[in-house]
Amino acid sequence: MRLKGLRTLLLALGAPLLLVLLWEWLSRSRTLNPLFFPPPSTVMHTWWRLIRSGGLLLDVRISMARLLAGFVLGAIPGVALGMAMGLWRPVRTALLPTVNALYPIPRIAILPLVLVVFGIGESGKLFMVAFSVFFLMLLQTVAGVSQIEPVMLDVARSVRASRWRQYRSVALPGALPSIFTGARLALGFALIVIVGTEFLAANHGVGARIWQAYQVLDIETMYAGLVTTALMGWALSLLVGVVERFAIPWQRR
Amino acid sequence: MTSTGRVGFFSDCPVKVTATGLTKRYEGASGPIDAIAGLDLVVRDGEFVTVVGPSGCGKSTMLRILAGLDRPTSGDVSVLNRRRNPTATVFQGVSLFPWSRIEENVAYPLWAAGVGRRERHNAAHAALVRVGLEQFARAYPAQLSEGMRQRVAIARALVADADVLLMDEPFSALDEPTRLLLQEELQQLLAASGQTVIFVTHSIDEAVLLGDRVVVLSARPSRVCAEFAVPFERPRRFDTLRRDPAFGELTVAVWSVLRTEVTGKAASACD
Repeated sequence: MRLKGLRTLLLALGAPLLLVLLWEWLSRSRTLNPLFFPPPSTVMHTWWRLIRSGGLLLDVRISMARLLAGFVLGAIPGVALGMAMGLWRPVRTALLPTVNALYPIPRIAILPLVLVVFGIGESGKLFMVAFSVFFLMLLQTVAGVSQIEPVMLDVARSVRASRWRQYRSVALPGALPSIFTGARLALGFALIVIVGTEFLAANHGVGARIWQAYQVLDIETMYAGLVTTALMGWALSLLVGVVERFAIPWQRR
Repeated sequence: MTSTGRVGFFSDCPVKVTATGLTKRYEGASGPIDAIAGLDLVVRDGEFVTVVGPSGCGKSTMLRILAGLDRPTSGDVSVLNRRRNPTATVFQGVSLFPWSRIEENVAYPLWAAGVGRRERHNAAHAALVRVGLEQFARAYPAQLSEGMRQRVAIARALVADADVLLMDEPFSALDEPTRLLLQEELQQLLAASGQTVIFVTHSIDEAVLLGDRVVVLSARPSRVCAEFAVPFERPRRFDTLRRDPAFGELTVAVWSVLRTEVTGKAASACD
């Protein structure tokens, strides 16, 4: 049992480490062109320099603030409308075609339009994130509500709970696991969208940093930006995990 | 109508539930379906009525109408309401909220009625003591066995303090030893609460073991086809009742009516 745990740890940590070492060796031995594929040690060195100067951390803060604010702006109406659609058939019938028509639009495709409407300021970036988050949260909420066992609502009705108490005690907690799955996915989308938006329409933020590095062909900084976005994604999923554990205490994995 | 001594020793008790001319018509995919048609039922205060019928007949529909979950297409239901709620229901299978702790599940009828936290806690605790699960108050349903969960569901129905307890095949998902145990426990709980019970089951044994009266419903569209008074003293025990030849006689009598309904010769038995 103990030994098995150790072996799992060795495999889980060792395999990626081996990959990095391989890359390092290929790059240093010039089998890979180090101009395009600089050795990981150099990338980390650059990354650390950018962090120490404070510039990259500021970019992370700016991007994260946009991402989280946009997420909240999209998630709250998404969940609210999703609850309404899940609970009331007429609302669902009226809105689902529109949602299904808008949902498949690649989020980044509306960027030019958003730039025209909102200009280059913060509101456009928030809208981009909120738009990408909104539909996912909405559909996950609708799915969550419709997955609730009908007998649960029967229980609430059988003790003559008011409409409001029925929603609070059954619909909301019943849909919560599905809503959190949505939040997980939506934050992933939000990261893609904010970085993409910052490529084209920002002076600060991790996306802008990567794009500016591209324009002066600073490959190492581009890689450092990639590492940073990966870490941001990791931090976000960690955050969801922590909130989830408090919000859904009845589901232990 | 086959009937042995109709309502037996409850004939002096006041009428608790009256259902008259109950009909329920669903709009099915291939035209309307009559689940029940012209069902009459009178249940007296403190009586334990068990309901059996062929599968797919209107047993559950009848119970849902009595619980106020469905409206009858026509006919009337009246429940003499003296307690907090006219009816409380124990549903078939899993009906506890997986997201609520056991004590919150048990106190739910009070929460729904806007009762304060302290009173809710006390009532839930008392009910959990009665079903012997007080040490699981803070657990979640997933941590309990099926039998324990059904005890909790019963505790929740007791907390509702209803005039009539409606039970929809509450023990059908349990293994036999657990079921026999819960049948005994239910009788003890009711001896204390004195509540009126309408108990739907597909088991003839269970119907005769628990009921003061067994009501047999006809095949769809359902109405009351026969009634049997069950003469044994309550609370009853499986081991003594099983040895009693009268128990066997009664189960056979119920089956002989039910059999014609199940095999589809409804007209011959019921009219």
